[in-house]
Amino acid sequence: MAAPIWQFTSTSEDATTELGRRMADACRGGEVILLDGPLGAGKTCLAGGFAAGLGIDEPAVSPTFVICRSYRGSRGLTLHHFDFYRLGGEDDLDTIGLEDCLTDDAVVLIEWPERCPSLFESYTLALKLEVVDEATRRITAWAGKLPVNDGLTAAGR
Amino acid sequence: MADRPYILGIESSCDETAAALVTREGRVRVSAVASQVDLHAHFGGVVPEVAARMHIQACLPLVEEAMDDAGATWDDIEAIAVTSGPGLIGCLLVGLETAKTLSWLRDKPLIPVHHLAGHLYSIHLMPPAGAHRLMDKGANKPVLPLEPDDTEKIAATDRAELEIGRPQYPYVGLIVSGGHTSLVWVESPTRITTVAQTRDDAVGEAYDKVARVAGLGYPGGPIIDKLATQGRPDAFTFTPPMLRRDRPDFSFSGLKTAVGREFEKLRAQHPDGLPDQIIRDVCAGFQKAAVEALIGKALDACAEHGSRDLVISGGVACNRGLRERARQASADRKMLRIWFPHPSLCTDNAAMIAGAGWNFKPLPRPSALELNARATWPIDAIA
Repeated sequence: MAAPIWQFTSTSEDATTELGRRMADACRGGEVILLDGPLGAGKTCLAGGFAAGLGIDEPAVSPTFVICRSYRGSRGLTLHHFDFYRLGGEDDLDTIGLEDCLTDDAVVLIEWPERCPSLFESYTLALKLEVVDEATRRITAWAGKLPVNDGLTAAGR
Repeated sequence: MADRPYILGIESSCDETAAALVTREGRVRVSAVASQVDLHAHFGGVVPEVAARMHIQACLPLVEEAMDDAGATWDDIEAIAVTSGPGLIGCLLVGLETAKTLSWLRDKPLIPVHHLAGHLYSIHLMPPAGAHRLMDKGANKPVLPLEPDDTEKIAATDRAELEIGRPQYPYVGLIVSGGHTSLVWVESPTRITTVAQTRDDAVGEAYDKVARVAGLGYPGGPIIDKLATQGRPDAFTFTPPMLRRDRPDFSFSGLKTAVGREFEKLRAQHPDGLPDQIIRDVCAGFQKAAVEALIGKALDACAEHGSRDLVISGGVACNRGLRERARQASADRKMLRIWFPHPSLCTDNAAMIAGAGWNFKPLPRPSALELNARATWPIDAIA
């Protein structure tokens, strides 16, 4: 795998939330961001901050049950928050409407992306969240084939 | 609507396909449920594509079966009620399209029903002996015959009300399941306002994910509930989330994480495998914290609204720990009655949809055909 574009060390839930907010600030539409990490690595916090950064004033409730939750943010961007946790495999991608969500005025967050390897490379950033100790999380970002703007490049540095 | 005795209900929002016939008074003539739980256990959760396919196979045979069992003909059907949301879109569509087609073919009004309003309405239903059952997918054989009207009644201040009692509108409702955790103020079957909901995971989802981390299987709720009853609730203590009064909403993501990490830590300490008693103890600690958060917030809401009744429904309302804690709470509060539907009416079923359907607005035929399923449908937006 190529070298990561940044690595961020978070020492609190607030810091992880704030990172999500900074990333959302940098998004201009069309971004696809993958979130990969075990239970408790901070995916929920990061997604919550991300939603707030897009100007979404309701909580980003877990999309596990319905696969995808969509919100319209005050900056004019829509957030499509996917969770592939329950998907069986590639075939399911056709039935959940992911294609329809990849538009210029939307940002797509995908949890548990490894359930669908065909996404490999067709993303903007892939984030890996790791538990270092009780409070510390290491969040590493790799660039995919979609363009990464300066703001996203700087967000975790 | 007048003469015909039944509404036919159809439900397919998640991993249960169901059909039922219910009278205007709420008497369940027949309720057939085909569950896909075994199928999805393999994946540790519902797989939407698989679920939709199974719904297609099960839906029409279940409707025919329900009609046959009731000895009913289409002349006996007043209208067709169907869950049109919220739920998994691919799954909802199967029930909805089936209902639309039958409505057109048989010239019956179509009634779109909100899934969670259905869950709340299940407390007003009366299941008759032998008519309520669960079936194995495809096997068409009853696996769980149930007793007559044994809707569980926990406490009553008034004997007469206990005999004929039902909760009186308005009341506080707590809907708890794999996909939902909501406290609501219920003024009528269709006039419902959200008081609080989860900010992250639904409580049932937290159970499923904890069970997965602990390697206990799917669905997590019944498994953890059973283990918890054999464990010591104070051996491992977890903080009940969001009990502070200034934060009205629920949150189960943090608790799920804390329990998951506790399991990981313990597994590292026991490389040869976790002793069963430790697993039971952690489950008991988790259940205690989860139940405390649910009941604590529900009691606060009842006090705030001056509600005399609390109705708890949805799949997690089958949880023994939750029922037991509610029993204590109502014993402590003479003015509060806490109601649970029969467990078979807590999990997804079509009787609740047919029953609620008598209170929802039927669509005239042309617009019925244009009706679409709604994956998200705020409960506040029914009326």
